Amino acid sequence: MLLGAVLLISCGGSVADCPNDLPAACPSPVPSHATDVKPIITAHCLKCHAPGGQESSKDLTTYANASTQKQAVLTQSYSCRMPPQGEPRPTAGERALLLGWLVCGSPNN
Amino acid sequence: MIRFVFACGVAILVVAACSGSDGPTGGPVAGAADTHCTLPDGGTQAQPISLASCTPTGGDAGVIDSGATEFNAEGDDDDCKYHVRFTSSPVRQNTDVNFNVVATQKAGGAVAGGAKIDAEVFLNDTHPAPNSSQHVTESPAGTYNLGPVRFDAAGRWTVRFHLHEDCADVAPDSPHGHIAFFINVP
Repeated sequence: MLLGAVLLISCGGSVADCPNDLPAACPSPVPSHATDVKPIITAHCLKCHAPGGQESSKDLTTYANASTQKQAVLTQSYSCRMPPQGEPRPTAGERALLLGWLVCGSPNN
Repeated sequence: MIRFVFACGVAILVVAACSGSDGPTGGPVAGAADTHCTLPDGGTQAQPISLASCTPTGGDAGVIDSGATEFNAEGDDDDCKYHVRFTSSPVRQNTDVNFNVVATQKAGGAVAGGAKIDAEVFLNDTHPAPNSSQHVTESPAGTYNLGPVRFDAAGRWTVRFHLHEDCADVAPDSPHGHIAFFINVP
């Protein structure tokens, strides 16, 4: 049990314990890119996914860029591969907004 | 009465034998073989890789290019660094599927060991595969067993294998690579 607890702590935030919390359908109200999603992307993604960053070729600074990469953003965030280990995780509420927006087809709202 | 019981027994046996508890299986989608690394003169384009060019940071200003999704069960990555072929356990809906992936370097043909292959799996832009605690083991070098992957709907899925995902795709000889295949799920 102690070993399990140690492993759980040391592996926290990994792909292994990523929840299956993808919305089954587009939520209502639809999360807003401008007020809900963009702040989440700014807080959790732009450290690397911006000009000059480690992943600048996958720039997420604008709606157009994020929308173009919506499939990758969804699979990477939903599977907890992103943000990478060691970086702060989105809260459950942030995660629900981001995934909901992506399941809605990433509208420019 | 005896005839009725016998008839019911036969019916049950026939249904069990014909329906099968496992159902139909899917797999790679057959189509044109991948030739994007074949040169007009019949030669082969092969981009050498160097583990020394694996940098975690880079700030590249390139464009996103994952390459075309490929048919069949083998092909080359978009940058012609690797040749990848795979097999899998039976592909069915809502069943754990494991992939056996063999990767070799296009230049020289050496095994692509230590690539920490990862699979990105999705049906479309809004439907990724469920999270399934996917993990990978490598044995022998360059041969990876990856899974479980769970397909939760019928359709033509995409399975994109990432090699050396932790390396920035900056230098031309960066070991970073990816190759995607269509998988049919009945």
